[in-house]
Formats: sequence, C-alpha cells, structure tokens
Amino acid sequence: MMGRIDIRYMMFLVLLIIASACTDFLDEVDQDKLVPEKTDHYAALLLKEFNKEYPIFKTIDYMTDNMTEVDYALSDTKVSRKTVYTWQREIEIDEEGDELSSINRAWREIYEDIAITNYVIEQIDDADGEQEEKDYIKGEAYFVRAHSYFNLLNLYGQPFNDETADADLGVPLRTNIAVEQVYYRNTVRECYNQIEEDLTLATELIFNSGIEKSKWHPDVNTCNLLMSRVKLYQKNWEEAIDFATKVISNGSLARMNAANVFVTEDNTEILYSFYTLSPVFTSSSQTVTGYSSSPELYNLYQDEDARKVAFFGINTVGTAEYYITKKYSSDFTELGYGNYRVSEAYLNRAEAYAQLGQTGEAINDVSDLLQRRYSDMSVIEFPEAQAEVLDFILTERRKELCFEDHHRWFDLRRMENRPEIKHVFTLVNSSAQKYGVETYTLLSDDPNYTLPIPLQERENNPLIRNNERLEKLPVKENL
Amino acid sequence: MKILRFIFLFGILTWSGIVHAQTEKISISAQNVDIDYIFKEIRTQTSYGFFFNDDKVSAIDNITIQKENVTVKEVLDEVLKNSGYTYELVGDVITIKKGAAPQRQTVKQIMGTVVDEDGVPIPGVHVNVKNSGLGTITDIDGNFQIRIPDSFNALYFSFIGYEQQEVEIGDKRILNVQMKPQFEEIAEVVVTGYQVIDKREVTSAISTIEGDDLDEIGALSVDEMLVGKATGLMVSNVSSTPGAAAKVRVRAGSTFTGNQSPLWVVDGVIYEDPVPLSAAEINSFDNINLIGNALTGVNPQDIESINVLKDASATAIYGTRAANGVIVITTKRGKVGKPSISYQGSFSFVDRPRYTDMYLMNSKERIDLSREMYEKNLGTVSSYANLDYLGYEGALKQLWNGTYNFDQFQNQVSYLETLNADWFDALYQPSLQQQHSISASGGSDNMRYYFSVGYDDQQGPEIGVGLDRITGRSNLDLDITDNLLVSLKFSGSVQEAEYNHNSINVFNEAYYTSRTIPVYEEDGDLFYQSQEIYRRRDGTRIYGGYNVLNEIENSQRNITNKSFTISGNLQWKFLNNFRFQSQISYRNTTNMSEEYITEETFYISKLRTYFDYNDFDETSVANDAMVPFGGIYSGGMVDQKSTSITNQLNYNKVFNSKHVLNINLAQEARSTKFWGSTGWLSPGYNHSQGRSFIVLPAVKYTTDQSIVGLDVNSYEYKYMISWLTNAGGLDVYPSITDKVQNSMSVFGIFNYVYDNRYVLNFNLRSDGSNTFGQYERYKFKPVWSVSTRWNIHNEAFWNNDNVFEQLSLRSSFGFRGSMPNASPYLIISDYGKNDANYYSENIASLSQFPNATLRWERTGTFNLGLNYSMYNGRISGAFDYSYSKSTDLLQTRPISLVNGSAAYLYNSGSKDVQSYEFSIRTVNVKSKDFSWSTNLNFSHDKDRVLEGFEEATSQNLSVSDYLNGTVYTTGFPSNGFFSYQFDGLDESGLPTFKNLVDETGGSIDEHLKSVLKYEGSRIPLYYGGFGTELKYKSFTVSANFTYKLGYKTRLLKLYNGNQNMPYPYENVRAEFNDRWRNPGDEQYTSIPGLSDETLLFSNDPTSDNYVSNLGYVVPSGTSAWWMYDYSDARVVKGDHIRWQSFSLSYQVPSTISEKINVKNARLSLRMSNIAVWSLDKKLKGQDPEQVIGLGLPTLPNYGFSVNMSF
Repeated sequence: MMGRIDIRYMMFLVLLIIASACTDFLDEVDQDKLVPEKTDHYAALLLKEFNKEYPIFKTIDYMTDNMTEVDYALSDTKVSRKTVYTWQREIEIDEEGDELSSINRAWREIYEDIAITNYVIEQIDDADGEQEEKDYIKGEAYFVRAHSYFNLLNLYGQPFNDETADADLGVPLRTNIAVEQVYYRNTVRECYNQIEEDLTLATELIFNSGIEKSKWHPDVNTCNLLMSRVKLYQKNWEEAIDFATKVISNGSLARMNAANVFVTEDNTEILYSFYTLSPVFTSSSQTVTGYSSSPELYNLYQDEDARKVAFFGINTVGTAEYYITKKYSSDFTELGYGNYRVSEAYLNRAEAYAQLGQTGEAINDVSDLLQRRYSDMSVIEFPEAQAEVLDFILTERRKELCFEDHHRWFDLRRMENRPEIKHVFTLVNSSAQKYGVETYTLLSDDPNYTLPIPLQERENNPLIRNNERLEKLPVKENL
Repeated sequence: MKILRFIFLFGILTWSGIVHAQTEKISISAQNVDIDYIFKEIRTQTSYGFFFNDDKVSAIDNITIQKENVTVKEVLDEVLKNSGYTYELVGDVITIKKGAAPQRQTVKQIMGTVVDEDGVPIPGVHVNVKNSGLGTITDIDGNFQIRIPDSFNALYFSFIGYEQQEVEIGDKRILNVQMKPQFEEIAEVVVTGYQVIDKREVTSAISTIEGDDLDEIGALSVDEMLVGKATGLMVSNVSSTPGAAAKVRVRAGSTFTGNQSPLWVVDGVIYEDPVPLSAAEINSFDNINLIGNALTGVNPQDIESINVLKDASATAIYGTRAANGVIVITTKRGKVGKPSISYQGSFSFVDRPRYTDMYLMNSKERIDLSREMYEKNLGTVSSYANLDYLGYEGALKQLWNGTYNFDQFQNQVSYLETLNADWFDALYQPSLQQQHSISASGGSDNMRYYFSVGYDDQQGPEIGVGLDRITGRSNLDLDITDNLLVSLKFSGSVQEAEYNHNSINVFNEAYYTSRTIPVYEEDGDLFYQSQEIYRRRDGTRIYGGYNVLNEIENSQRNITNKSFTISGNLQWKFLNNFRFQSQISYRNTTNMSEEYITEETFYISKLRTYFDYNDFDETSVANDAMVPFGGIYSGGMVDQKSTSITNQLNYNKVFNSKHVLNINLAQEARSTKFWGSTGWLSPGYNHSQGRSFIVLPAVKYTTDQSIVGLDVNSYEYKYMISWLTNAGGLDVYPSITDKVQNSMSVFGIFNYVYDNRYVLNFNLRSDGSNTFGQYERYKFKPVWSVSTRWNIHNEAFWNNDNVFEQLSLRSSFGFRGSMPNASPYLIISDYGKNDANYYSENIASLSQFPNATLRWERTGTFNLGLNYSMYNGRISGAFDYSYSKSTDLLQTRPISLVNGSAAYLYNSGSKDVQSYEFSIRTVNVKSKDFSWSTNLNFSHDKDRVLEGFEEATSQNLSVSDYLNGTVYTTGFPSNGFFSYQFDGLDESGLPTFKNLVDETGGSIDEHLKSVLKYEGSRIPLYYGGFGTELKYKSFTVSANFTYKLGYKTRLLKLYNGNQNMPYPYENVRAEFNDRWRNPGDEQYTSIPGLSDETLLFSNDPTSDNYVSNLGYVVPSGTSAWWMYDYSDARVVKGDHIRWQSFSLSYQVPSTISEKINVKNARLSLRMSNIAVWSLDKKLKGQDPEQVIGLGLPTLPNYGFSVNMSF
C-alpha cells in the first residue's frame, strides 16, 4: 500500500517530468516555415533586408541643389516628384489631392530594418553557430541599427544644435522587440547617444570576433568612418578627427580613372558596399522623369578632374543637353550604389581641422584626396583663409559624394544657417507647350529642411508630433 | 434515516466483496465518541456488517477506548459493557439488540434468481433485507443467496435502470424476481470528457442529448442530427451535399478571427479537423467545407449521448481550447449480460428540387422578356454571337436573315414558349441513401464489450455526387482486478466522396439556364450551345460547345477521408479514497483528394484556345495555350496526427456521510501535427488513356552555332512556360503543410457537496503552448471557474408534498480561452544563394515578424440556471441566463510604423453575448397503453461587438465585407450585415441608390456609413425546436420542428452575371415579370426594367454614374445592376419554422418477433426536412437558409428503417 509520502513523491516526479519535457516540447515549430536557427540565417536576413534593399529616401536629391528640372518635360511627368522637389508642406499629397503612397516610405522601411536588427540582437545568442560568428553578426546588427537611426534622425529629426539637442525632437527609439501601438519621439541628443552606443558595440563585437568578411559587410573601419561622420554632424571636431584618423591609418585612397570602373572588390578605398536593388537613378530614367543633375554642380568640376567624366554622362535631347549621374551605373560601380569610402574620412578630417582653424592640416587632407582625382594638380587654387578653406572643403565634399546615399541633403542640413535654395518648375501642358514658370524657395533655416512624419504614421499613431513645416507657394510667371 | 444510512454503507461493503474472517483483527483508538463511530471503524477495518433491532442503540455515547490488534469481539465486549445492549455474530453480520442475554435467533436461507423483463438474468442486483442493514448482490447468473434472521420478512431488489421491487418472503425459501425497467429513465450522469458527474451535482450549463433522441432522426452525420436539439446550440446546414460540414455555434461563439466552431471531444479524445483550413474558411457562411471536419467518420449509431458544455464552469477544464464551447460525445459501451447483436438499417429517398419551388420564369415568360428587349431595340451585349440561334433572339435572327418566313418564325416562337426544358431534372436526381449498422455488445463481471460496424451510402441530389462510408468501433472494458479497470477503444473509418469539379456550380446552372434551351437534341444527344472560348490577337473569336452535363461527365473531384483512433484508459483505485486515471490516445486522419477535368470539356477548350481541331491555330497555341493538350489533374494529401496523454489523480471522501469532497489533480500533454501537400495542378492529363499524362516535347538546342543553349523561341508551346512561373495564375507547385501544435497543461477540479443540498465546484487549468507568443509560452496563465448549485428540493423546509420533486439553482463564473492561430516566431523565406551580386553568400527575406506578445483570447462567463422537475417528472426542464464577455480578441490593428510594420495582430477586440435559454419537457399522458409527451426549447443569443473594426479602410476591409457581414462593427452583432440603399427607379426604369455621391466631404469611412444601411444579423438570434411524441401500444408517432428567428437574408440574384441584359440562354427570376416596362411604372414597381445601359460607375464627377470614392464605396468594375442585388430591396426576413422530422414506428410484439428468433424488432417510417414555413412572403419558396452561390441547404427525405436485436 502506498503511503502519504509515496503520493507526494509521485506528484513530484510527475512535475519533474513536466518541467523537463516542457522546454523542448513547447519550442517545437512548424516545418513549413523557416524559423531562423543558424547564425547564417540571421546574416542572410541582414544582408538582404538592409544591404540589398537599402531603405534610402528615394527622392532625397530632388530637394538639394544637385538636381534641377528638365524644362521641356510635361508637367504630368514631373508631378509625381514635384512635392519633394518644391519642399511642399505635405509631400504625400499632390496638387490634385491624390495620395503619393510611396514617396515618404523610408520611415517605414528603415524602421522595418531596425525591427530586424532588434530581433537579431535579441536572438542571435541562441542560434546555432560559432561564438565568433554570433559576435560578428550581432556587431553587424548594431552597425545597421546605428546607420538606420542616423538616416532616420537626419531625415525626420530636427537638425543638430548643441544648445537645444536635449529638447529638439528626433525620432522614436525602439531598441527592443516589444510592440507598442504608439511611440513618442526621443530628443536629438538621445538619438545621437543611441547611435554612438550602437556603433561602439558594433566596433567592439566586430573587432573581437576576428572575422573578416566581404565588402558587403561592415568592418571596424566602416564603423569608425560612420562614427567620424556622426561626430562631425555633432560638431565634435576632435573626435571626428580621431575616428577619421583611425580609418585613414588603416586604409588607402585609390586613383580615379574615368576609363575604369571605380567601385570594385579590389579597390582598397571601398570599405563597405551596399544597396544593390532598384537604384534611385538609371541612366535612362533620369531625363524621362523630368529631372536631371544641375548644371551648376556639373560646372564645379574642372576638366582635369577625373570625376567629371566618371560621375556624369550627358543625354542630348534635341539641342538641349542634360547631365545625368553615373553613380548608379555599372560604369561606376561593380558593387552596390552606396559605399563607405576612405575618401570620406579625409573629407571629414579636413572639415574638422578647418573648423578648428588647423587649415594646413585641412588642406593637406583635401590635397591627398584630390591627388587621386586630378590628372594635373597645378590647376587647383587652394585657399588660405579659414572660411574659404571650409567652403573649399565643403564644395569638395559635395563634388566627391554627390548622389551617394543621403549625403548632400544631410550636409546642407548641417551647414551654418542652412542655405537658401531655389527650384524652378516649368509648367508644360500635354501638347508640350510651356505655359508658365513657378519658382519655389527653400529659405535659409527653413523648417522644411526636416521632412514631415509620414501620413500613415500620423494616422496609426496619433500621439506622434509632426514636424512643423511651411506651405510652399510658388512665384508664378506666365509664358 | 439512520437505518437507511447503514444500508447505504452496507452497500459499499457488499460491493467491495471482501470475505469475512472471524479472526480479523482491528485497532481502535477513540475518546468520547458515540457508538456509530465505533461501528464505522469496525466496518472500515473488517468485513462485518451490522444490523440493529433497536435504533436507540446509537444514543450510547461518551465511549473511550484504546485497543491494538484485537478481535471485534473484544471491542464489542468493552463497548457494550453496561450499556444494556448485547450483540451476536451471525455469519459476517453483527446484530445488536437490547437485553441481557443473547437469544438464539433462527436463521433462514433465501435463494433465487433475478431476471429482466425478457427473462435474461441480471447480475449485480442489490438484494436487501427490509428494515435491516443486511443485503447481497446477484452473481453473474442473476442468482443470489442470503441468510437472514427469521424475524425479517421482506426483501427488496434494486438495480440502476429498473424499478425497485419489494417481495414478501412468507414461507417461501426460493424467490424468483422479474425486474421491470424504469419507465422514465433519467440519465444519471453527465460526461465532460475529463469527469463523469452525477447529474444532481452538476453546477454548469450543460445540455444533454440522449441516444434515444438522436436515434429518432436517422441522420447521417452527427452535426446534422443536433439541429434544434439543445438550447444554446445553433446548427446551420448550409448545403444538402453529402459530406458538407454544418456550421455549429455554441452560444454565438467568442472570437473574431479564430475558428468559431466548438471543440469536439469523443470519449475524452479531442477530434481535430483533418485539414488545417483557415478560420475564415471554416467560419464563413458563404463557404461549404466538403473536405471534412472533425466528425467525419463518427457513426451516429455508435453514440450513447452528447453533452454540450456551454458555460465557463463546464469548459474551463479545456483551458485555451474552450472559448467556443465543447461538445462531448460518448459512445456506447458494453453492459454485463449475454451477447446481444443488433442491426439497424435504413433506406431513404431524397426528392430532387423542382421548378415549382423556385420562382423562376418559365419559357413563355422568358420569351416575353426577350420580345420586349427587341421591341425596345435593346439586344444583348455585343460580344455575344448567337451562333446557335438560341431562344427568341435566335428565331428572330433566322427571320431577319431570311431562313424563316414569318410563319416559321411564329411556329418556332410558340415551340420555344412551350419547351420548358427541365434543367433541375437534368442536373438533380431523386437520390437514394442507405445506412446499415451492426453492433454486438455484452459482457461478464470482468469484461464488457461493444463492437460495431457501419456502412452508409449516400447519393447526392446533384448528379455526379455521392458518398460512401465505412465505420468500425470497438470499446472494451476490462476489470483486471477489483480496483483496476482498463478500457481500450479502437475506431476507424473510411469515407469516400465524389463531387463535381470546382468550376461547375450545379445549382447556378440549373437555376440560371433558360428553359428555352433544351438539354438534349431531339436524337437524344446533348445539346451544345456555342460560347466564346478565345479571342485571337487578330480579333477573331473562337467558340466552343457548352453543355454542363458534358462538363460533369468529363470531370470529377474525389475526397477520401480515413481516420483511425486508439485510446487506452486505466483506472486504478487505491487507499479506498484515491483513484488514478490515465488516458493515452492517438488519432490519425488522412485526407486525400484529387480533381481532374479532361480535354473533352469547354473549360479546357478555353485554356487550349480551340474547341474543334478545325479552329486549331499554331500561333494561338504557342502564345496563349495554357493547356495545349490533355486536361488538368490536381491532387493533395494531408495527414493529421494527434497524441495526448492525461493523468488524473482523484481523491474522493465522504465525511460524516454529509460532506462529500472530490479533488482531481491532472496533467495533460498533447501534440497535433499536420503534414501534407496540396494544391498542385498538372496539365496534360489524359484520362481516357489509362490516367496518364502527355508530357511536353523537349526543348531543342539551338542550331545557331553562335548561341549556346536551348531554343525557347522556336518552342511550340511557349505560353505553357508561364505555367511554371507565377504569371500563369495556375499553381503547378504544391503548398506544403508541416505544422505542429503542442501544449502542456495542468489542471485541478475541486468539488464539495454538502448533504446533497449544496454543491461547490472550482476548476483551475493552466496551459502552455508552442503557438503562444515567445514571452507567453511558459507563463502557464491560469483559467479558472467557480460554480455552485443549490438543490432546493433537498431542503428540510421544502415540503415533500410540493409539486416539485426537483428544483435546483445553479450559478457559475469563470474564464476560458482560445489559442491564437499565429506564429510566435520570426519567419524568413527565400533563404539561399539566389542573388548574383552576393553569389557566394546566402540571403534571406523577412517573411513575418513574430507575434511575440500574443496572448490567448479570454472569455469570462457568468451563468445562472434553474433545473426543475415537477409532478413526478411530468414537467421538467431548465432555464439558463448567461453573460459572456470576450476580451483580448485577436485583430489586425494599425500600429505605429516604428514597430517595423503598419499593422499587427493584436489582442484588442472584444464582444459580449447574452444568452437566454429555456427548455421544457412534458409528459401529458402516461398510461399503460398510451403516452404523450411534448418538448420545447428556446435560445436567444444577443451578441454585440464591443471593440471591433472602427475604420474599415485602414483595415483593408472592403465594402464586400460589409455586404457579406464579415466585418466586426462596434456596437453591432458580429454577423451584422449591410446593404446599399435602393432609392427607387428613375423615369427610365433604372435603379438608383442613396448617397453614392458624397456631399459632406468627409472621410471614406463616413461616406461608407452613409451609403450603407444596416440590415440586421445574418445568423438567427432566436432559435430552437419543439416536438411531440405519442405512443399507443406498439406504435410511436413523433414530429419535430425547428425554428430560427430574428435574422435577415438576401434573395437570390435576379439573374446571373454582372451584365445588364440576360443572354438568350439565361433564365431570370420570376419577379422580373413585374418589371418596369413603361415610363410611369416606377410608381408601382421596384423591379428595374430592361435596359442596355451598362450602369458602370465612374470617378469622373461629370459622368452620369459618378460615385465618389470609387473602389471603396463601390468595388471597381461593378455596376448598378450588381448593386441592386446587394441593396435593401433584395433583403428579406429569414425567420422560419422547419418541419424537421416526422416518424411513425411500430414495435413488433415479442410474441411475433420471438417466432423468428428476434428479441426486439422495430419498424419505422421517417420523413425529414418535410417543409419550411417562412414568415416573409417575399422569399417565394426560396429556402431562407440558402446562401447565394451555395445551392440548396436541405431537401425532403423519406425513409424506412428497421431496428432488430437478437
């Protein structure tokens, strides 16, 4: 006969069996779906979702002084990008009141990548694979998250201002995998802190893993380059110099030659390459959409500058010539359309030196870069006064990095007082007759330098604060 | 009372069957107790029984005793010392009586046999001596033997299910007793799947349907036989097609996006659906599930009883599976006795539908319609070429082109006017159904068995449809020892069904084909009408011959379901009060399906680009032929395995015979796996030549030396290649199912009964499951319920002369849940080296973010119920009121994009249901030869969405969801549906609608609200059944009715398709006879007139048919003609009463049946679905349960059945 103790013992045994069987049993998954298990699953996911389908704000350059309209193109053709080109208050609703559903999609796409990185960071430690591999992938995820928040912040957050950064609205920070119906915007400072924290972790993890991967993956240099950019944007000149120096001492510049493809696997100047799907511009699309590179930009390049031919092509329509960028063509890149290049480190450092008044060092850095770009350095006139040196460097930055990533727009946003820009829009009816010219102005320090939060976000998350922007009405001239 | 108590205890003793021994030793230790306590101790520790001559004996108290290992004698000597009582040991009975010296009692021995009404011995009958605690039970042969003191002179015999009988002993020493079965057999127990509860102690809302009630109908499937049988249970048969699953709801269900069907449990084993269909497919009243449901393969003849568990207290024990109610089926088990074989067979005949029920135009009316079309110079849509000169239009064409003179034309028209082709005759058949079932049952003391085999053959009312089913079951109960019971159950079934190809809608064909179109040519061949199959790139149109009978002849869909269930159950009683019970079950179902359509059909001609080889065109085949030769074959297989193990430890203790405590602690693990592949379609199927495939010719290599590779350009069947890509629209690749659902649970049931008056019950269960979100998985959130019952009739104050012999009040409150059906994992797809840019590295896409925080849906239910029975069971029934509130219902909700997606499955919706249920059963007359009983049940479920979809457009809901009632609108019933608002006819007889142009400038949602009108619920809010039964001598007549009230439905479409004018081969509903014909008619009729206006809508404000928010408010591509069918002008009340069944049965007198060696024989005539009375006259014969596009819900059935047992 079983006594009291025995029953208790039995129950204990049953509970023990339950507890031990529980974990495996309740973790079983459907086999008709792929649940990431191996480290490589996570690596593959990051590669596709961020590296390949890089969530760039596709009409970013239309807002800059690097782009201009094609005056003969029909208004109907140009209208789908007009809201951005003319810095409208609401960029997702066109003049006819129709919704342009994809124009402000970067917000959603970037946050999707952030969500992925959050899951990778959360789950990678439980994946099957070497610890080094896990460290590397986690590092890569931190890098992707930093890069993503950097983009988001500079698209949708207030421009950096050290005095007000603790109050200025940045973007909501989501660094875990909890799902909330609403999010509030963090401050610009909090956002930069998060970016720096992620970058520091990324650098450490990637370094400690000891793994070297292809150019499709960030390495320590890549992280340092982004960090120097992040510091530069915060006007932290010393640290910008420190990080740029790390990049420069570990990397080298390459000579640009219009006859050869510049971005290649072998080019040591390329640290990290990304963005291979659906380029912003294809050579055929540029004039067809009714916009092209601005002649003003094209004319900044001297004939001795290899970049003039390497970066630009010319489309001839009738008698008119239009400049088109080759940054998205296979003549320029064998890898992705977005690249981390050592040249940026030189420009970052030069700018920081110039800001600190160390014009000599600044000019040295620019000169190092231009040596790899010019066939004849003697045509360059290097300035000496600090303000001129700074201008010179910023112009070089514009020339070097044009049409890459979000560079030009972000650079304009961090310039002193944000320059005034004018965009002309020629009204052309369906029988190709020009009947008017509209001129829009993005004012100096214009609040429209910050993009509006997407409509869908405002609809789904009514508590989010939108950016206040001005109505943009044209000065109209009838023809 | 005291004596009774001892009898009760003595009964327990007798059961335990212990052999006495005078030498038995006991230990006893007590202080200040009464003598009852001592007696009880002796009884517990020994095999002695007591009886008293004087019941004052229990007044002896204040006894203190301390003995170790002594005989009973020693104890009694001590206890009765100085008490004035003495004792005597007679056999294993202790007699206590007053007096100094024990007098020698004379003892007599009585023997006898107890038999049932048929003379079969009954084992286990209690034989008790009146006014004593003595008794015994009969052995396996029904024999008993008892020695009793001479002074006792009566025995009574009792056995469950039989009337208690008292017999005077007199001088007799041999007593042979025949037991009479209890007339009104009340079910004693309720089975919940985990527990068997005494009906008098049930605290929950449970409807029980006994085998007898179920048997009456002779239904072929279990869900069908539940219609109108229980309160709170609504069953809708959406299709008369054999094998189609009914839609079953318990108290209106409790989820939006999850499966709303109840959980089915057969003998403690959860039956899952054989194929994991989406919840939307299962829930939708617009979808027939022919694939099979959980109950496919359960033979109704094997069912002993069905219990519908409705409230939280009843279902909480099923934890996260229970929110939509649980239906527990108990199958028959063997009873101790000689083997008994019974046969049940039925044959029935299902009538086909007829034009008289259809409210359609006859030939003459249809010709009149066409004539008006031509008089008004309207003609049919231009792309239709009436090549065959069909209908009035055809005759007219012949007249115009000179083939007919006017007389010939007149003759042809009058021929057509009287043609009245019978398409319902051609496409439906009066069908035969038969059903046979043989079972054997019986058993001895330590073994009981029930075996059965069943065979069903059902022909469908539609031609080409049929179903065969074989079922088998074996239930075996083995008493290994006195305290160890093992039950083994095996059951299996095979169901083979044959249906028509999914491209053929037989009902629509019969309904909407004009009666001026003959089915056959005069020579008996099929009549083919020419319809366009293909339009060449040069604009020439290619036609093919169409007759639906040819399509049916050359295509088929087969679905086979096999199921196989094993379960083993062990019950071990130990330490008097403990019982350990363990059940292991394994259930496997296989669903196999194939579907083919051959090249002989119009359907394939369309994919081939030509019908007749004369029309063969190489370029067309190369460029557009999806299936250049052969037909299409598709197939699939899904296998489902569920395994479960449940261990329960039960403690049952009676204290002071007033307190009954019952505790159940249990643990359960279950796993369900689905595995299979479905949905692939292969072209080139060659049915006639041995069911093989014609393989495509190989692609040749190029002859051009400069190009290396395959020459795809010169390949003959270029377009075929699109079959392999996602451009083809037909899926050559199967979709693989490989799913697993595991759950682990612990639960406890605590039950306390005081004096049969007060019952308190508490249930607690906690589940973990792999389908919960990753943070919720291990949290084992508990569900619980608490419930009480007050048996008022057992109260002392309740006068025994009261008319009520039972009156009990029940109340319960608790929670239950339903599991989310969404993945808790991050899912990726397209993993591999499939990008040239990253050629050496793998890439993968995000497929789905996990629903990491998904919780189960939770339903809290309060239930208040009353059970009553009065006038000795003449009137009985129950009332129930319940309020359920479901919260955390899963809904896709818009969320901040910061989460990485714009919408997310959220535990956010809520709804509530108030249910009122009432049932009454009366026995109006009860005499030897004649009895008459009636029953009625009524249920009202008032459900309401508390938090639903507020903004339709942001939820990707379309206006169709509103029209079909699949939108969960806050404040409305969950099946509430909407219509366009018909605004009368304009002066040209065209329909107009209100508010199509939004003048307020509000949002799309606001516009939708002003365009649509709320109609009501799509499913009945009030439902139930009533019936009556008359018995006169050997005859029994019964009739049952069901009713569904408080809902609305749409009339069938005026005519098929979306074009404004009917084609000559199409029929039109008869109300079109009252159509608008001349200006001014719009005053009198709301049926639009004939018009060639397409009435398509436009988003151009200058257009006549301008509608704002086109695409949202009106789906793009639809016209006002379509809207008319979805307007309030076509909505009617669905309220109806259905004469569900009528039966007349004759019990063959035993004097006759015994001559043919049959113990029991019954013959019955049966009819079901006899008639339906709709309250809304506008239905004009349309079955109110009929849904557009699904054919007929039910058809009359006339049958004959035989029941025999040997």
